[in-house]
Amino acid sequence: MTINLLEYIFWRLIALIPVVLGVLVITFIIGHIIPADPVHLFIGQEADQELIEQIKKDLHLDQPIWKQFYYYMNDILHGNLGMSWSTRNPVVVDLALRLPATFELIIISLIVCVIIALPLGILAAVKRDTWVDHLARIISLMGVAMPGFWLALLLIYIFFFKLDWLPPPIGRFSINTNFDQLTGFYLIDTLIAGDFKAFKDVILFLILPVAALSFRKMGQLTRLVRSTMIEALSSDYVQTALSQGLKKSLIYYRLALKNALLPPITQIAVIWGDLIGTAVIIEIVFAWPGVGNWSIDAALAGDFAPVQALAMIAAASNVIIFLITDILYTFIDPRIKF
Amino acid sequence: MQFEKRLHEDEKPLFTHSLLLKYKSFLKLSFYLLKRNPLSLVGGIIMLLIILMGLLGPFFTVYDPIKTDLKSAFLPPSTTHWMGTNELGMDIFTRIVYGARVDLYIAFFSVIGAVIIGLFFGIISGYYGRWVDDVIMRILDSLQAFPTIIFAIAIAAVLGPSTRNVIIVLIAVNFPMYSRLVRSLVLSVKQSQFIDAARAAGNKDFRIMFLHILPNCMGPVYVQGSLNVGWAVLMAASLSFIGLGVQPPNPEWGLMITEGTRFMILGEWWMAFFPGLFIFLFVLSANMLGDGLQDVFDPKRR
Repeated sequence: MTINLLEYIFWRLIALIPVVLGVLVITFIIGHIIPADPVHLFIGQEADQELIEQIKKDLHLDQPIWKQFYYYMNDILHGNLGMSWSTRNPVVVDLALRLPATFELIIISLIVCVIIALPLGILAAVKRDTWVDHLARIISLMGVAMPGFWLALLLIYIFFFKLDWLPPPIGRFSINTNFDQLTGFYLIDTLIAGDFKAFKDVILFLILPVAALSFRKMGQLTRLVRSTMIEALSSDYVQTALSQGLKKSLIYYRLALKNALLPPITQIAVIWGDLIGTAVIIEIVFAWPGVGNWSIDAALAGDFAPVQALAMIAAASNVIIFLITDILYTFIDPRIKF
Repeated sequence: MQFEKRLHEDEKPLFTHSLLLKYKSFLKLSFYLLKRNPLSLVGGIIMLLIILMGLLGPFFTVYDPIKTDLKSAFLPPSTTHWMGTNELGMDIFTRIVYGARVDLYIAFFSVIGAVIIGLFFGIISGYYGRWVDDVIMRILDSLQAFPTIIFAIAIAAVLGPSTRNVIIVLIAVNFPMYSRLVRSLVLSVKQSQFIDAARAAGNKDFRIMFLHILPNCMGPVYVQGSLNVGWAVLMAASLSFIGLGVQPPNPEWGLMITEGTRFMILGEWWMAFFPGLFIFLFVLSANMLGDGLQDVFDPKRR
């Protein structure tokens, strides 16, 4: 079994190679369809010819395209994602600085999403066609149709402007809060520092963006849990157990739930990818100092290296999450054999 | 389409046709549909109203969508300005009516484009199989490894922001989905006897693909298309919201939300609220309609 599992993971990794190559080719192409001359973006319009030649040489722009791709791959393998001329930093440095902010947002949103969607979906399935079911349906319909950034604005209007319960959209913590930023995950940082006042502050700033981010995906997950749970409830073994008079809670939560959870787990991988994308936009609304704000600011200024890097990082994290859920799947379901 | 009638009841590759055969006319089928799912009826009506608003509305509006009138700036909703005015004194409702045109234009053409390109690759991939299929599927895998919005942002950033480029971006991120869908349908339709018959009669590959297989794959594509129109509006609005889509002073719904963002925290809620409401309504109606259609095309869901 264990050997088989390792073998499976090995082949799964091999199968990833064309996809990873494809992703790299696509990001390379994106970087090379820029209509403007990249050299001029670096140094402005009036530069002398010698400097232009020099920079072209540094960027390998005088080489044929396949050689440029070789240099590109070489750079990436050495962890060099290029320079962002708008921040004057290597992209990797900027990325490392801002990724924790985005990941904290996404991870908390994912957790919130699962914590609410799972029970709601199960309840909607068990109490089918009651008000719980209808509520779940309404939430999911609204969640899918609502633009995340619009929901975020409404939440800000209600909870900041009208009620004044939550802080304004100015980032991750209030100005007079101070703590050591070790990991960049402020929830962890404030706990390490033992500063509960700052911890509470960070949580208050997280509430609205997390709500706006997770609401959309919550509905989708609820629907899926509901439909798989209904399928499991109508299956033969559950019907048998019911007819034998086993306790209902035992049947629902021990027997049916196990089988109903498999499809939602793969769905979580899809949700992860969507969350990264949506987070980029939500970050702008909340002035969240994450990768979204950074890359889009750069892109609007004509600096494309950050966007390119972000696309690559997002695709990579997507591929990894899919791999993990695939492997997890085989762990949870003993019927899957290789 | 003649050959549909030749399709034998027991080898039905897709559910659509047996249902069409059963209900004879499209009109009767529609009635059957609406009776089954009133939600899709409501969705269809809302969608139709918004489309009509975009098409005919500009003939009835009193105000100019892009003319500044600083005397009437920041007016809250009232009887003269139904949805208030923005910081330049433009009437929000008028801008929404004109914005419907921009958004529907983008949604319509981006979905059509994605369907055409997606169909092409899907059919070739499914029909030829083997290495052609492998190569196309790996390319689609790579394209879909990117989160949709981030991929869209990356292409939009590089192409530059404009209405035309939004359409190109949406086609680029959307067509793989149709290719996959069509490929899976082609794989099942390919097995049908009438395809064998067509081949035995000496039809060329391209003729079989586009004349015999393609029409039998369209049902689910229509469903996806109707769902997708809502998605396209959402994406177009998102891109415009972050400044990588339609450019000011064009009245586009996402862009109007951007313009209202600053004033939301100052209490002037109507500037961002109403355009968002229309995006919400439109996407909601598209989803409701698509949901109903799906019930019809997918026998498992009935």
